Amino acid sequence: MDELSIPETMTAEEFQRRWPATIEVLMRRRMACVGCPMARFDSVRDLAANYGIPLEELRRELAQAAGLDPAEG
Amino acid sequence: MAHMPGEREPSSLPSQEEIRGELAGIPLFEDLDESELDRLLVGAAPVRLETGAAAFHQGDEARTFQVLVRGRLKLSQVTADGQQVTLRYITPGEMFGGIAALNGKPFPASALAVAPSLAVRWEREAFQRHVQELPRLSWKLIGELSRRFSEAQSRFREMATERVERRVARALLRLAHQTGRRVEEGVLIDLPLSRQDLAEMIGTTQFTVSRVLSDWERRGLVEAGRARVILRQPHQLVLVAEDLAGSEG
Repeated sequence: MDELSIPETMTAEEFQRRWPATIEVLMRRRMACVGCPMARFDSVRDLAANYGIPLEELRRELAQAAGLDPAEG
Repeated sequence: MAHMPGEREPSSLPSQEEIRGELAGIPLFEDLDESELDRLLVGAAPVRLETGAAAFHQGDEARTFQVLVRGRLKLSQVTADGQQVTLRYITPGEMFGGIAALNGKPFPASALAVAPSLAVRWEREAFQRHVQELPRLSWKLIGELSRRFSEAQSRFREMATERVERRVARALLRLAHQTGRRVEEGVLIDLPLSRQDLAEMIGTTQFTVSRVLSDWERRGLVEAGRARVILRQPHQLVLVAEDLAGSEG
């Protein structure tokens, strides 16, 4: 599954650039990452910590939005 | 005693006796004894305000002193460039328009009823006489004025500091975005940056920048050395900069 997933060390800027569909997740969760000056520094792990979201839950949502997680729901 | 409650319309104004009862429950008058309350009734007139009605308008000559008995008023001011600012809400038991009436200046703000309201008002001269003749009323009035004054002072302080905090946060985030580098402790702004530099960037004093940074250092948001700054909790600074309390991004 890790091959098809978004690494927890990837920055918010990078996954938004590579998979723009992930922005929908950020908007829905009212996260300030879209256009944020810190998006290039904060990783998926940082985001989960900042917003108090379980890391795996956030990764799964981002992967689903990006179309990387076809295996299961 | 010509007052017969049963005959009055529901929307009609309260009798003198009812006004007396209302005034007795208002903090400003709570130290007055029975005979003093009777004297206070001289010149007291009830005013009913439907929602949207103005008790007075900004710029009007301040000829009355008023207390709110029921309802709620919004005190708002229009600035020279046309911006409307809500100053405060008046709740039952509070005086309003009093400061202008006391210093003889025009009303600096407008008071609009935001709910059906009932007030009691005195002409300026009548109330002035009460203040001169009732020392316990004067003392209460001074207390109320000083409470308003400290409230205004603390609001001024909050506004002044909040604004500058946001400005400092924005400047740091901009610099971090441009020149930042991930380090173990957070994001390092990778250029020599003094407090004076920051102060000049955002148009404030070095003292103010130092105060804000010290506060953030205490809270663990930043590490501010003599010429370098590390954002230890960049996300918290974003929240300060964007004034976000769970709004959209």
